[in-house]
Amino acid sequence: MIRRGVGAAAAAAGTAGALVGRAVRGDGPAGRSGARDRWHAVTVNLPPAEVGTAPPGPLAALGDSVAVRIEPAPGGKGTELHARLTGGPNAPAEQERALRAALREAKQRLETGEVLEPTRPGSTEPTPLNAPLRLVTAHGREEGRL
Amino acid sequence: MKALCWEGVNSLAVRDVPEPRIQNRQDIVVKVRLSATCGSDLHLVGGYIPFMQRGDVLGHEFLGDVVEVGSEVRNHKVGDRVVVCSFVSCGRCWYCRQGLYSCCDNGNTNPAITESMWGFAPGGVYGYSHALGGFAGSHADYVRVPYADQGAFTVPDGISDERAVFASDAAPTGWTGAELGEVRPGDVVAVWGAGGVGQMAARAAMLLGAERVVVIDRYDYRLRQVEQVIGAEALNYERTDIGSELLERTGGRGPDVCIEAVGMEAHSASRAQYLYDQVKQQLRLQTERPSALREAIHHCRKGGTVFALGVFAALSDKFPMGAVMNKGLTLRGAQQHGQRFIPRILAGMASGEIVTEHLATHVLPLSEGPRGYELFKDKKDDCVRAVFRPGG
Ligand SMILES: NC(=O)c1ccc[n+]([C@@H]2O[C@H](COP(=O)([O-])OP(=O)(O)OC[C@H]3O[C@@H](n4cnc5c(N)ncnc54)[C@H](O)[C@@H]3O)[C@@H](O)[C@H]2O)c1
Ligand SMILES: [Zn+2]
Ligand SMILES: [Zn+2]
Repeated sequence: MIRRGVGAAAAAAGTAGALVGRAVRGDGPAGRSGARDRWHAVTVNLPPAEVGTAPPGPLAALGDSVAVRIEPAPGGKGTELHARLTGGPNAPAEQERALRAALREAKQRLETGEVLEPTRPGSTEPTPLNAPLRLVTAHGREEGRL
Repeated sequence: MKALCWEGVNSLAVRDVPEPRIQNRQDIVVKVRLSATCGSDLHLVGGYIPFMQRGDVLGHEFLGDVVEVGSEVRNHKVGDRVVVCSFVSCGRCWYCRQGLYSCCDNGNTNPAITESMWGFAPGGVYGYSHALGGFAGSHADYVRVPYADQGAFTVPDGISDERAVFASDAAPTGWTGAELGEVRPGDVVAVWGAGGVGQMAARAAMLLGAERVVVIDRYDYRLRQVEQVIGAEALNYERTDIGSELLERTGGRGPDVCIEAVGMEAHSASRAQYLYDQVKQQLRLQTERPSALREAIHHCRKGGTVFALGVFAALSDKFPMGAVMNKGLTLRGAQQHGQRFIPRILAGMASGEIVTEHLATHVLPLSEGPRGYELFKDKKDDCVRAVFRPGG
């Protein structure tokens, strides 16, 4: 294997992992900012009649902590599922994480009938260098721009 | 079981890892017959896509036998010989229904990373870092295949393993570039890169009716394959002035469609430009060395299409936006939409109009994985692709 530049690349890889960890967790410049009670939305590729009017299971499971709105998407793109935290702009971050994961899972269940599992058990070996990335992947569906 | 794992930047090893099992009802488990190296792996091996963790299993282009079937799988049974698309795509979200399978909404179990980097998350890929789902790769005795009815395709008898394995990734990638680049009968098409992807893009362009297809690289052994197996024209950029040649071969117009099949680690005929890109890339001031993409944009005819098939991670420096805008170019890129093209490709492989086995220049046991990547990465011993045979 070519050894040239390995040190620089390895160092940069660690830095990039840390930066992404921060961005994905929403506390860096690339992350989302703003109040926790904004609406979050996914579009399900099914007509409104097949989605129904009741909050799908994963969202229903969050109970009163979320409000749900279901609307047809324009252009035949399916049905929009909107959800927001009812606890106001300072609702706990964990609630927002749970809401994102529930929206993604509701969409997957409706579209494909199940929620895709990540590879388990994986073969990854924990190292200090990959700690930020492991933190991100441990919460795969709870973060991001959604 | 044994698997070829990423150990760190430019470090690979064969080690014992847990065997996969059915985790979702739509999964199958495949016993791998052949698993190929791909140019995309080089970006991971070299640390240019910094989302690998020590111990991750590499490999995304593969073929094997079904050994286990989830309860909701309809199209496959134990014993079937299948080739599997490198992308994990659900087949039912809006993107999959549009044929944009690699943009699948549901195939990536870690959508947050790429949402934060690119705005939205594409689907998942086997052995292609945690940014694309962290799925265990195929350089292993066994691999789990989610959404098997969508991603696995039974290989017709009569197509050899060595041909069919490239229906997983290289061939559908080439097809993605030629078809989404809208190659039309009578077009002149230029392809940068004579690796598996560039060769397959050239072949797809020919089958879509292109009048002339010219492939550009600097390795004569690869360019010979282009001429002798693919049937396209070849240009060595170290010995020819590509600009004048392309003008000459297009009557002064420039190619109608330019397909870039090189990616973020491009070499450059200009040493100064190469060093500039290399230094900026290593300092992470840019993530790519986009020299072939710049050339494709420069040489494309007015109103033509440039298609980026090569993998890019994030930010390209000195991107010639002026040429894109002032020449009225269409610039497009994509990860491959294999589920859309694999049936057509398998038919072409059966009829003999798509030939790929010449790409497998080095078929090695999995235990020689690290050496296989060395040959492939450094283009030693006329390597086009090293292909691993687990258990062999
Ligand atoms: N879009 C997708 O879905 C997809 C799928 C597979 C691979 N890829 C990407 O396609 C690219 C090629 O993959 P591959 O397996 O053929 O890799 P490869 O390494 O075998 O081939 C790349 C070729 O490009 C040539 N090259 C380098 N710089 C060049 C330049 N400036 N001009 C012309 N040629 C140049 C190299 O000499 C080499 O022959 C990689 O970036 C890979 O990540 C994309
Ligand atoms: Zn690939
Ligand atoms: Zn999908």
